[in-house]
Amino acid sequence: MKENTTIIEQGVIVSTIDGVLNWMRKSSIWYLLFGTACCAIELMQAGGPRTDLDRFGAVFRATPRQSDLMIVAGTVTYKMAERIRLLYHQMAEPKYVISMGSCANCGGLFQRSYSVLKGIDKVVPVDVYIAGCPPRTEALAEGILKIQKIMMREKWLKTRGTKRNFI
Amino acid sequence: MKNPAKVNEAIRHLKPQAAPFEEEMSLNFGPQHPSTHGVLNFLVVTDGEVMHQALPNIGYLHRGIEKLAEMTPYSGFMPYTDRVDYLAAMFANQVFAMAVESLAEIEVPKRAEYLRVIVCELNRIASHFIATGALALDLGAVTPFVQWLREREFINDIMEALCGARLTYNYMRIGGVSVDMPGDLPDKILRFLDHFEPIIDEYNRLISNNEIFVKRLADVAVISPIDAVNFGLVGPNLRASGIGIDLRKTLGYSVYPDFDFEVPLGKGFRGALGDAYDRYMVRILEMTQSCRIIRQALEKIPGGEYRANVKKKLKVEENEVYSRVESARGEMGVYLISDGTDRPYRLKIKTGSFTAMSIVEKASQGLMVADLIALIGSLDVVAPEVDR
Amino acid sequence: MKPAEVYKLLIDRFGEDLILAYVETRNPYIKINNGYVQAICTFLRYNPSTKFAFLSSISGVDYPQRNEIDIVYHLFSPFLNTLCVLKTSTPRDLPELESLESVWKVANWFEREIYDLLGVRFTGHSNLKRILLPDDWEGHPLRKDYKEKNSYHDMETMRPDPLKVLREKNEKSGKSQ
Repeated sequence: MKENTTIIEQGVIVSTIDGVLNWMRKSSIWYLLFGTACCAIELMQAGGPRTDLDRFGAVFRATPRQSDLMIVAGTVTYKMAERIRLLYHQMAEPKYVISMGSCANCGGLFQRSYSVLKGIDKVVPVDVYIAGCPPRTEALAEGILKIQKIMMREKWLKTRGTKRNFI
Repeated sequence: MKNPAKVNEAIRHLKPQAAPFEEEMSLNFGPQHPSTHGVLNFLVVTDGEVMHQALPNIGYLHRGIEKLAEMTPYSGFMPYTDRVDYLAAMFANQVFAMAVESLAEIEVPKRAEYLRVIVCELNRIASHFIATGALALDLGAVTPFVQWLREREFINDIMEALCGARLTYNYMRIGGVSVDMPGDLPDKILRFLDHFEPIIDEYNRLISNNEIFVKRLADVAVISPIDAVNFGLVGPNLRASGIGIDLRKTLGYSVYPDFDFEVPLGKGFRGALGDAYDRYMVRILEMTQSCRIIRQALEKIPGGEYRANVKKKLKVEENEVYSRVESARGEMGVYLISDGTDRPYRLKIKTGSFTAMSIVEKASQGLMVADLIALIGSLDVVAPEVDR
Repeated sequence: MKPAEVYKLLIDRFGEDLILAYVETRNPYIKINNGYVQAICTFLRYNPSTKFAFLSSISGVDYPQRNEIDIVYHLFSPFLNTLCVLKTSTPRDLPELESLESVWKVANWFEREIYDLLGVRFTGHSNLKRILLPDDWEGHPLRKDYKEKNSYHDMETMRPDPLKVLREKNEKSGKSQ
């Protein structure tokens, strides 16, 4: 927001509409509480007192219709993968996906298993991958900051939310 | 109105044309739902507020760990056991290590056994944090859960200082543990215990004796001792129904006979024996006992080796064993068959959550929909333990 | 009461046709006839001198060499503080056994799991269908000769080796330059 913003005296701020919209969006990322395995505990701890994702305006929602961000935390089996796709389609645009932990990234420890999906990018598009098994809460906080950066770069008016604009 | 029959009666008066369970509908509950303790799915058959039945549908986290064991060398399988039960990873570590040690006839040094007991009991406390906190969260009380998360971070710190991981520890090895305690860790643990023990009372004042909380749990989803045995309940769920089986006492594995501790039993604290409140309260009481064990273990811990000398490429002769420990969720067993190679021929993991889930079908009959949450929360099931 | 005594008790009650052998190792087990699992377990559970009240687990083991599937029952008696291991085998081509659901309710799920992962049918089971894997899954993964399919629905089951992909990419870009 900084580059397009001028601060004039007497409390007047001039900025682009894109900048304001993106700034508002990034300050209230509501994430879908979607823990599938071990990483879910770290996801819970991240919402707890020490890491406190609330600082970034990120709070959990129980339903996909109210959330902007899906944090897939943990191993995804084939049985679950179809539900993930369904939930992803239930979320309203613009929507983002964080793949948290090795299992969600590529199958991780369970790569040789017969029932585990080898990476959720085979089912839904992923914006940020977080490595670790499980990643620390700080890593998840950084992932949220990365999502905020992606949000700030988007040309919201131009694409009208129909197509994501990666620069 | 706690009696489901009475609730039914009330509904019948409201809708005189519909008899109970005449117009059934099936609702999908989960797998993505914040209060189902991981990915569990229930098909709730209901005619309004009273459930006819909740049919559990599991397998959303079935990762085929038993098959992976057949492809992995003995020493390499330890990280997988962490993920069998991520809330209480130490127990899964221990039960697998015990099985292999029994097959390969490895003597574990005394110091390693004491270290195992200390970390296991710390882990039990950490696991009961999530069990009791999440139950309160599911019933609508957010503060207790956040408070337990705060306390849990201290245990995470201790574990991190010990083995470098916060959740999936991979601490134990076949024949001992991976590293010895750092010199300042006993002090750290004692400081945590001194800080934590008064907090249990504070927590009881906050939520355990809270009238609303008690009303939501007391007399709800009563599991009789006969049902508990029939459905193979284990651990705190079984003890809440008044049956005092704790493998730490019954089998006396590891160095547990050295310690003086009690096994809390359910006795109908606020309602019937074996109701949801009993299952909750047994866990709270167990935390105090775990603190006692840790204090004694820190006092008695002997010096010496922390790991027996075990070959890295361990080959085990043809044999079989069934080893069991008392995990935070009850009896956890590993049935291990070796065939002379460096990897298991077959490994079966028996967990407490699997059997606890099977009782939901029966215990949920005639409950209110909101009480299903209390039932699942009080059973303390964890999805990976159910599915493996 | 030790497992050897349990074996003696069973032999006295059922005879050698039903109780086949007592295998003495460090962890001994009793081999039983596969047609009489229910009767033997009922006896062990309700006999006042044994009282094996808990069914600790049921496991299945696949042995392709002898073309059999072994089913292992672990019974636990807190009264005796003893674990009793019963083993029985069933042919691999048409595996079928009696269900223990009428003795212990918990057997219901254990048997469903074995049906799911090993394909053993249990007669008299109230709800024998897949429990862990999706209903339309093909094959029984814990059998030793199980091969993973290339895709499930429209999802690939394999992920290419990242190092190989990187190497190929480097080779390609090297050629174009």
